[in-house]
Amino acid sequence: MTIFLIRRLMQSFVVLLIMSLVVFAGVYAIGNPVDVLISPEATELQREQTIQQLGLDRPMWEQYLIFLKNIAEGKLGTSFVHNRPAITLILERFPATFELAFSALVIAVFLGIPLGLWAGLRADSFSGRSIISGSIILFSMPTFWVGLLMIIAFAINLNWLPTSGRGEVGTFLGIRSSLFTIDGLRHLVLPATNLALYPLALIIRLTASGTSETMSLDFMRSARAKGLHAPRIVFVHLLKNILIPIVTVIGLQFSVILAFAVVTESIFSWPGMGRLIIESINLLDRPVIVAYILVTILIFMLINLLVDVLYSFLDPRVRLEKM
Amino acid sequence: MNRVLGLIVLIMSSVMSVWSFAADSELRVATPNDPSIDPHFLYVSTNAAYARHLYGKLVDLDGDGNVIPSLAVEWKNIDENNWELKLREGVKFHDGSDFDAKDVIASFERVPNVPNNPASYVSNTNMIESITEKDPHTIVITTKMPYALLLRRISGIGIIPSEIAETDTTEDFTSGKAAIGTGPYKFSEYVPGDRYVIERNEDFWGEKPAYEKVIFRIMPESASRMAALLGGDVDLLEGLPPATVETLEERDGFYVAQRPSSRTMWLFIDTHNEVSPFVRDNDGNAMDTNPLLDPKVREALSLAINRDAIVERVMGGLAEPANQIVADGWFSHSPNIPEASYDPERAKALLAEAGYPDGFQLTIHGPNDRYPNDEKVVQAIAQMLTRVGIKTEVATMPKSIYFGRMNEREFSLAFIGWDNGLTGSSLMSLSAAFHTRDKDAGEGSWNAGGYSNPEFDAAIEKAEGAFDMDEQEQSLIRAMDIMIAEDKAAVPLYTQFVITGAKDTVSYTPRVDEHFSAMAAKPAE
Repeated sequence: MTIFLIRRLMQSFVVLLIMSLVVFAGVYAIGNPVDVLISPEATELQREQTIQQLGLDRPMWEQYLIFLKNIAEGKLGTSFVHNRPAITLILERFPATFELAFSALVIAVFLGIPLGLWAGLRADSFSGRSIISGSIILFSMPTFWVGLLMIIAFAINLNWLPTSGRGEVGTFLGIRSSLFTIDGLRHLVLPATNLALYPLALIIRLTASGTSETMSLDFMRSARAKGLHAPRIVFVHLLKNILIPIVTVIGLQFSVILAFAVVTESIFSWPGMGRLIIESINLLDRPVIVAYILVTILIFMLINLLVDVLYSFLDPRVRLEKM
Repeated sequence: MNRVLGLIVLIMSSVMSVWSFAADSELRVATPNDPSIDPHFLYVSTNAAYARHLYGKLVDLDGDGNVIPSLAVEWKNIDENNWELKLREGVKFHDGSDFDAKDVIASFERVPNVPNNPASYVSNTNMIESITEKDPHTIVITTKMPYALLLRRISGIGIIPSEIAETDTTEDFTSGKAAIGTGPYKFSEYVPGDRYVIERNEDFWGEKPAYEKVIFRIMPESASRMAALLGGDVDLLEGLPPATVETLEERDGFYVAQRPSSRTMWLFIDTHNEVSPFVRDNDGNAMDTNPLLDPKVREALSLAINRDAIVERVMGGLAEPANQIVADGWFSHSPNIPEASYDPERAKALLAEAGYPDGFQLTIHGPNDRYPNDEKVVQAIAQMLTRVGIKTEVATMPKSIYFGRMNEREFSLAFIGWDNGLTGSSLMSLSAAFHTRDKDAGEGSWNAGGYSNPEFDAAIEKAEGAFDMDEQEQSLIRAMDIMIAEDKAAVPLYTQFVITGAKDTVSYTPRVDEHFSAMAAKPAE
């Protein structure tokens, strides 16, 4: 286990280094931030001074080395637009994104697994088929469109919920989150549901196919022959066996909605990290773009690591040393 | 089971039934822009607009673009280079400290020294040689050369307490610790990317604003802002897309506040390159000459464009045709230039005279995320040019790429809008966008067309050096006549309107410089 973890961490380090180079080159190619930000009244001389001051006149490799040197000192750069450390900007917005992604995942898991089980166990019934076709619809509808429809229906026409934004933030056990206030929850319902649609469809389909596959296996027949109760068969023997692909997908989906909830966050004006990256790209705020991508890579790697560790608990055949 | 159901119903109903009623004294605004709380960091017009709420300036511009007293109550010229300003007495900062000459000097000194600043306010202060304190409420500003527009320039600089100006960083402003000014509103809360809340300064020296509290909801997505307005979550909407104006006006309870702004749109023409990068002959091959160097061709471009159609069909009536690059009614607007006419036949004839009876091929460039309807306007222009024989393709791109390339003179025909609000005249646009590029003199920094005419340059330099406003206006009119009427170096298009979506309960008067101002809002009667 320890060897596995150490090897994983070293791999992660290499991936981070390579990605930083790729991102740096990409961002460098887009354009010069000063052209976007500088006021039209600035003279050519001021423009040059600004470029010099920000170190943008140096060749790319030199800028990259400076960037690496700063990282070694624990600095990820300062935002051009906000004049604050990029990492502060990202971490400041992390809680908002986390609570949104977390709520979305809770919705997806607690609706998706039961629905998937039902559809898998009753594959030929009307309800089972409806669930499967429903999940196809969920898959295929574009998130932003569903999001707008939800706003029009529930916020504008019915006026039940607020159209957008993050609500009041409450404190519980020292954690500040909008999950702890009614106003916060009201603001969360629509975006979280919107963000949950895709992972929900995925979990339904995975659970359903896993269920119908496993139910026909020999050990399930023996379990039934032994006279075990149906709930025990389904929730212990079946679930344990179909959970591995589901956990993988949940892990992957969690990192995806954490890092790239851009569409949902934009439509619902959710002050999360996804919007930060879009705004930073629009304004060519290079330090934030680079820092953001490195942070998301880190998140991906951590969650994947967690998933691998979880595997070994769910399936004793998996030995981490061999991975 | 029933108990669980009951609980769910209870939770749902309580969640749904908590309505968020806004108090009468609260104004909620949906805005696309995150503010910089630091008044001297990142000089873009939206930040200048936010700064007006918290920070007083020596003089300010009113909603029509006129200079009005603010922290300075009166001023006089000792001579052409020295201005004496009397400061308002008895003004207190939000932290209770007194305002005096030291704060002015320290604030102006801070402007060029904010670190890591890609857009400095220094263009508003670099004509100043020194500021001296005569007594705590009198200062003398000495300029490096006679500078008639000084008052307009210093209207861009927010005044903060000297102790803060000397030590505090942008971060301290963002956290609210240093966000102290003399303005009509006080800092209350800022959550980046989410909301910015300000409260009325009850000790404000001037007319107090109507609303006790203003909440800016930061929403870059225009569809979300619209939804928030229609759903009743906000009272005012900044940055309304013209395409949604009709939807809003048709609904009960909303209206669109509008007025012509100080931003005029035009096309840069490549009058510089011997071979223009995006001009091709009719077979699509590169040409060895640049037809745009011929004034007849440039005139044909202008005659081919139906400005009324752009205003009516693309802009939905929310613009006015322009015949020069400052709008009618503004200082330095030239009366000598005839209305821009639409005459495709004459355009074709001019092309034939210039030796292009069958026209040529061209690509027009424009941004697609900078001005209202920018992409559609460019497309419409391309169609109109094609109709007179200049087969025009369209290329649009995000502003983050567009303006850099434009300024490197990589385009043949490029769309741009210029806000003349700060100088209230054509001075800035003419000197920055049409004077021959000269780095050391600070001229022509946005001359993307490469226009260069010594006679024009002389007129601009005369205007810049003129201390007498009439003399300045005459020089500017002369320059505009040379550039537009004689040389046809740019194609003026239209002056856009500033539009704000509003609920009927709020009465809002937009400012001509497109700055949003909570002070311009009051409850409707």
